Formats: sequence, C-alpha cells, structure tokens
Amino acid sequence: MNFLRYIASSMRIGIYHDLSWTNPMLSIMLRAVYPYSSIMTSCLIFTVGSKAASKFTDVGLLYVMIGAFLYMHFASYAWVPTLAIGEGKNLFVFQYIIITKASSKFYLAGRTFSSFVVSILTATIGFILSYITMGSIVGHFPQLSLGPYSVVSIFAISLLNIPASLGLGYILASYALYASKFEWALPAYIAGMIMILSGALFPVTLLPYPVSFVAQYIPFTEFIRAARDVLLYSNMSDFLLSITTGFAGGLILLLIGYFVYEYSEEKARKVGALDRRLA
Amino acid sequence: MKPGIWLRVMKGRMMVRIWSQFGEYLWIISNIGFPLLTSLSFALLYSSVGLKSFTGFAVLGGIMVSFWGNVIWSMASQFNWDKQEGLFEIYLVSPAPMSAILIGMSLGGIIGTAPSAVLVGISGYLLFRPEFSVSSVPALILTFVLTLASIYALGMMLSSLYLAYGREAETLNEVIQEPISMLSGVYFPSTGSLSPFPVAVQVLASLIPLTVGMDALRKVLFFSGDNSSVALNEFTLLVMAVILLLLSLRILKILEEKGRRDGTLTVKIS
Repeated sequence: MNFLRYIASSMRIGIYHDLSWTNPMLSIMLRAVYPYSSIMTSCLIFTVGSKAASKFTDVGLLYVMIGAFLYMHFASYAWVPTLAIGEGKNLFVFQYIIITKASSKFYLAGRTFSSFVVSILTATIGFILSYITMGSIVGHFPQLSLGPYSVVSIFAISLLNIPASLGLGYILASYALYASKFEWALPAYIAGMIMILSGALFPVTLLPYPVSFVAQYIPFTEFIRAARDVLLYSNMSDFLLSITTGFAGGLILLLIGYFVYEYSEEKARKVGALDRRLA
Repeated sequence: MKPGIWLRVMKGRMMVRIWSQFGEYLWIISNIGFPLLTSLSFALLYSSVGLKSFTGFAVLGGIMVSFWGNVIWSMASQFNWDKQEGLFEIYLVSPAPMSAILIGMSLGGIIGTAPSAVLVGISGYLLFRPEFSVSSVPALILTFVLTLASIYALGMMLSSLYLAYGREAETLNEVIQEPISMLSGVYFPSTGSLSPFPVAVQVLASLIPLTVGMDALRKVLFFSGDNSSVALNEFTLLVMAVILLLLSLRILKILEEKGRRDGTLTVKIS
C-alpha cells in the first residue's frame, strides 16, 4: 500500500503549491474568480444573443451555466500533470522525483487529486455566485432541481470524472516529458477542444458530422449531459446511462493514458529528455 | 537626456521582443490556440440561439483577446520576471530611460502578437463568414490603434505595480484577466442598449480602456460607425492612454526609490 503514501504526499505538495502562498481561504476565493468570470461570460453571451433573437429561456440559461461550470471544473485539473512536469523540470525538481523509488505516475496522480479538490471548491463557488448574479441580471432565479439527491449526484459525477481527467492528464504529460518549451500550449489547445466537443455551451449536434458523432461519446460530454439530466430535467434513467458510459469511457482513457505515459517515461529516461535543456 | 538614447533603447527593447516571437514560429502557433478555440466556442453559442449575425462579436473578441493576453502575460508580468532574472537592476544602473523600455516592450508586443491575432481573425472569418459593415476605414484604424495604445498603457502601469509583488504577481494576473475580459465585453456588448449589465456596472466597466475600445470597434466594424460616431470613445481612449502612461512612470519611480531604500529591487535567495 506504499503507493497510497506516495499519492498522499504528492497531494500535500499540490495543496501547498496551490493554496499556501497566502491565507488558504483568501487563496481559494481568489482562485474562484476565474471560474466565476468564465461561467458568467458564457451566460452573458447566451443572454445577449438569445434576447436579441427573442429566444431567451431559463432552461437555456441553466443549460449554458451547468455546462460552463463542469467544463471549468474538468478543464482546470486535467492539465495539472503537464504543469507539474513543466514546472518541475524548470526548477530541477522533477528529476529528483524520477530518481526516487516512488513512480512519477503516483506523483502526477496525487497532484491531479489535490487539484481536483481545489477545483471542485472553486468551480462550485463560481457556479453559486454566477447563479446569484445571473438571477439578479435577468430579474428572477431560474428553477434548478436542487436537493440533497441532486447535490450528491453532482458530486458523484465529479468523482466519476477523475479517471477521464487523469487519463487525459497522463497523455498530455507524456508530451511534457519531452518538451523543453511550449508545454503549456498543448493543454490550452486541449482545453479549447474540450470546450467545443463536450457540449458545454451548445449541443454537440451543431458540430459537423462525424465530429458530432464522436463528440457525444467523449466522457466529458457524457458527464455534462448527466449533470443537466439531474439539475435541469430530473431525468434519472438518462442520468444513470450517461454516468455509466462516461465512467467506462474514462476508465479506457485512463488505461490508455497510463500505458502511454509509462512507455514515454521509459523512453525519456533512455534518450535523456528528462533534464531541462538549457541550450 | 539625448533623444537618440531614448530611441535606441526603445528600438533595442522592441527588437528583443520581435525576434523572440518571429525567431520561433511555434510561438505564433501556440498563441492562437486559446483565443481561436474560445472564439469558435462562443461563435457556436451565438449560432445555437439562432443569432448568426453576432458571430462577428466572438471573432473580434478572439482577435482582441490575443492582444489582451499579451498585455497581461508579457507586459504586466515582465518587470517582475526581469527582477527575478536579475535584469531589472541592470536597467536601473544603465542610462536607459524606463519610458523607452516600456514603450519598446509594448510596440514589440503588438508587432509580435499581430500574426496570431490575424490568424484568429482569418480562421474565424472563414468558418463563420460574419457580416461586417464598415463605412470608414480610417475610423477603424484609428479606433484600433487607440485601443491598443490604451490597453498597453494599462499593461505598463500593471508592470510597474507588479514590481512590488513576488510570486503572487502571476496569481494576480489570473485573478484580473478573466473578470476584465468579462466586464469589458470582449465577446458581447457590455455597455449600451444591448448590454445585459445594470447602468452602475456599465459605468464601472467604462473605466476600463478595453471596454471603451471594444464598444468603438463593434460600432465601426458592425454598425457602420464613422469617426463622428466614435469620437467620444476615441477621445476617452487617448486620455486613458496618456494618463496610464504617466501613472506607470510615476509608480515606477516611487517603487524604484522605495526599492533602493529597502533593498527590494533584487530577489533575495534566502
């Protein structure tokens, strides 16, 4: 069970990295500003556009708000392994992690879990504040199916998404092992692609075929759909189907990511790509 | 101070930035990712509510976000990074005027970001074919130049302010980047009749140069605005640019003097 200790240590490092540069409460509040603004931007675009087209509905607004909330949550921790490697290589820390007996895979998993904890807090704060702000902007509070069951369901969605995000994180990290610059650029592309392909802001059927077909089976799409089923439509049968397929897809992504990373790490050791190249 | 030194310093700092961008083409590719995909997403959001005519707002937003990102990450943070790498103290002991360094940095940033912004614009145009309605090209050019001047002047002021901070400067950047984008209405009109904000928020948002610039750019690009219809915006942008530039130099001077007294102009390792 040593790997649990490695993961727990890495989580502590991650929490310290993310929150301890100032008062932790202040740090969380500051980190919530980004998801809040991002969710608000999406909702305001919807409001401006739909009101100009005389198509504004509460369901439409909540559809965008829920999608933007979960997108912010998923996207904000999927790229943490890349960041951990990029930053670690620049500060000559990652090489020490590689030469310890604990695998860097556990280190990256721990950093992802700690970022998940921070992200679920900040994205939820952002969502609640956006809901209140949009309520005051449109003049009433749109009806959400909120209750203990739906809150637990959203938390379950968030937990079940971890394999998908960690799998994607491992795949991106495999690239970061070899990159000596621009390692931050690939996650930005991937985050942007997730925004488009996950149906966070609009139905994936708007995308051209076959992209629309593939997009509906991406785990992130399934989880966002499940969240809408529970918070917006109270449709439990579709909810269960979506989280089951989303979780299964996430496990496949995790397995692929794990083996891609393992292979890449082994090869990176052989070719000497793990050091920061200064020239 | 001889004007020759000012110009040489300005050109020198500008060229560093230009070569760092154009000497590595991957910079251009990596810089277009976020603004392009975000503007595509928002254009699709406009389309999903049946308002294809507004997709141009999202494409324009993607172009301006390229510059805004450059202001935040390559202007505001720059002196802080220079301080960490030991460059800032070299600036101070040299006869190089700080105003020339700041303006050179801005011009280099604008020229270096232009290819990414153009690529975002072309891609957005080819994908969504937004309808433009430009009646005055000089008004468009003047508005665009004044918008860039004022937001880069804001970047200069932030750059001076960030000298007072350590690693927290990057977190502050993350904290201000998105709210300012939202309040400024980069992707939607945040002021005027189409704005979803109450009047008080619109007034607050109008204090940000990006808001005034985006409002004017939308008028000349999509609503056949000419110089007379955006004269107030242009005048406001000009005043903001001058005030922010003077403020940045003043703040820099104050922090420099304080830093000299307290010994905080260099990074302490222990």
